[in-house]
Amino acid sequence: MADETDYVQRFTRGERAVHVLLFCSLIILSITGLTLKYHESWLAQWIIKLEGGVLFRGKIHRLAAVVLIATFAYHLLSIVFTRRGHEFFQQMIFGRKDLSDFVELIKHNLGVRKEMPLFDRFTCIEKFQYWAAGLAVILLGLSGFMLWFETLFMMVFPKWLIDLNHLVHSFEATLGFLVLVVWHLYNVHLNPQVFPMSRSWLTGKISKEEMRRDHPLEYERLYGNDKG
Amino acid sequence: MAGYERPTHKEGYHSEFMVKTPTSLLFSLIALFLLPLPAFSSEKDARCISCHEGQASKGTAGRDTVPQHLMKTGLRDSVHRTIACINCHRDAAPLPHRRPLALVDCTGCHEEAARQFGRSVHGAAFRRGDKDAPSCASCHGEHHILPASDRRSTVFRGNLLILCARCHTDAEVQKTHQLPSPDLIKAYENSVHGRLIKEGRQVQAALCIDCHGSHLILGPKDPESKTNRGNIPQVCGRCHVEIYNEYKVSIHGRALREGKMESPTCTDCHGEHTLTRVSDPKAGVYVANVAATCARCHENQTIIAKYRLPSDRYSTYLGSFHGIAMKYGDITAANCTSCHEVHRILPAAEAESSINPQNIGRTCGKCHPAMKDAASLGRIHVEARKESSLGMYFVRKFYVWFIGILMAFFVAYIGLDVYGRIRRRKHGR
Repeated sequence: MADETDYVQRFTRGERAVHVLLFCSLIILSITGLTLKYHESWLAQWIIKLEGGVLFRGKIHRLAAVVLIATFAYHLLSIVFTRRGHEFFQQMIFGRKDLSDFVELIKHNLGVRKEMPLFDRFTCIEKFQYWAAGLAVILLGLSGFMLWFETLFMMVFPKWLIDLNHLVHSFEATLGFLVLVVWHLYNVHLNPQVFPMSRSWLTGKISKEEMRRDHPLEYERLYGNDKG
Repeated sequence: MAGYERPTHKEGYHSEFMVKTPTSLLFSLIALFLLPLPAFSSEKDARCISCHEGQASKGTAGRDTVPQHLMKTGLRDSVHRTIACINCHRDAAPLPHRRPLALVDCTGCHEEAARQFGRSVHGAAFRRGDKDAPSCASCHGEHHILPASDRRSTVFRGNLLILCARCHTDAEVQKTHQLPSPDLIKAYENSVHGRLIKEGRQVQAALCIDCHGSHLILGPKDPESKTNRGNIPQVCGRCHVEIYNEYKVSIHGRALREGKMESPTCTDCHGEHTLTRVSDPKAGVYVANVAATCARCHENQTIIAKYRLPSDRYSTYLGSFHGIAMKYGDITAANCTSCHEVHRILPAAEAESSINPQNIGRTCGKCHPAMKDAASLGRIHVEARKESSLGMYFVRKFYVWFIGILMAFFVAYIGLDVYGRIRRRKHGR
């Protein structure tokens, strides 16, 4: 085991706890949601039975949604009220560099360019994941509330909007689910570099070596140009 | 004429159908006291009695057994007890009479019944000389004819099922005459009507004769038949008056009257011999089965095309919240009848219709009280087709393409990433 000083704290305990709540709620939401969307398949029907019937399934779904929204609110509050959260958010904002980074990354993989682009705290891939997830939660949360309090919204909005909302919720959830399964699963689990998984979600740490390789600009900012 | 035996109460199938209410028993007893003591009518009968009543069972000169029991047990309390023997057995007047006597012809007195019987399917078979065809005596008895109100009578409502079942649950008769399967007849026993009769709770519950007629039993294709599609509502409506009045004004009722024979009648949704309570989960009209029952016609492409009915009603319902909730056991969720009414189904364009834009709030409000004042909601059954629901159509198209392209991009990126790693490893970075 390397020395304590060989590691850098990337996520705080609170952030890790929120991440656990986030992915637990997302898994539950995906299972309960997809079984409803594909309720005609035998697998979905079997899962619905496990979930305690279609009505209880709905209750589980809404409970998990409340947890998800709570993690989202926690994150928003930390952005607004904490220095760390504020910096986190600022570093997440897309810049022109992210586009060129992405092009460079592809060139690098194709072998056109020898060097990897130099990333800061968040790579263009991570930023994409963050914003995709954030927007999906906003869209799903809003459309979900409309479905939850449908009668109320039926009084305010025309029926076609309610129908559209239903469709958006269903498709947006499918999209979010696929982004998580394909994109996130590859980047933090199946990617040969981190397989079976990047442990930083548990420990909150990454090694200085990893940081120098994957986030060289951040490393340079923190430790100067020395080789650790 | 084949001899006829009264069903004995010891036989399981029969005894179950005896009516056992104390009220009817009491009335029967009172009736017995009020009746004059039975007595044979005239002196003319004395001549018959001299041979046909008494111990002497053998006639003279090697003749066969003289029927005795008919006189003894049969006529004493029959409705015909005051009628002289020769009124029916006209060919018995000159003695010694020929043997056997000719079949008794009831038409002389029972003109109307005979006329109806003659037109019936039974009458037609009888005329053909079908040995299985019933005659008057098959149902009413020979000498021991009792009024239908007498609970000992074979044609008493409580005993009627036994009577009809004698031939109609006979596998041999069923096969040779291509009658409906005995199982179908027996299913009546478990129907809501059959149970009421069986338990003796309601003698007025519909019996064979109520739906099929008694003397005038016709095939269902005959326009005058009680079981002809066009006449079924009136037949059921004789007892179910309020429901008939609702059905009569409904689009289904009107269509049937206009001769649109695909239009559902009572039995299409409720069944006939198998008719059970609405609360029975096996019933076509059970809350969870209603949609499938309506879909039998409303998903039938021939009917949809012929009457230009809106299509996809069933599939759009199944995909809706109501449909899914119902499918997975929430029987409080709406089914077709929750919005369209049960018997009084009217097209949306009519002011009285429960789904008329003016009334839709009240209809939704039955379950969603907050919506009771809502006016027109717009399209309820949404098919997401280009012509009918443009917004839904485009949002769906957008997402399908967007998700498809994004996934293609992800897969391409991951492939590229893996390729880059392999290539770098090969070249030693």
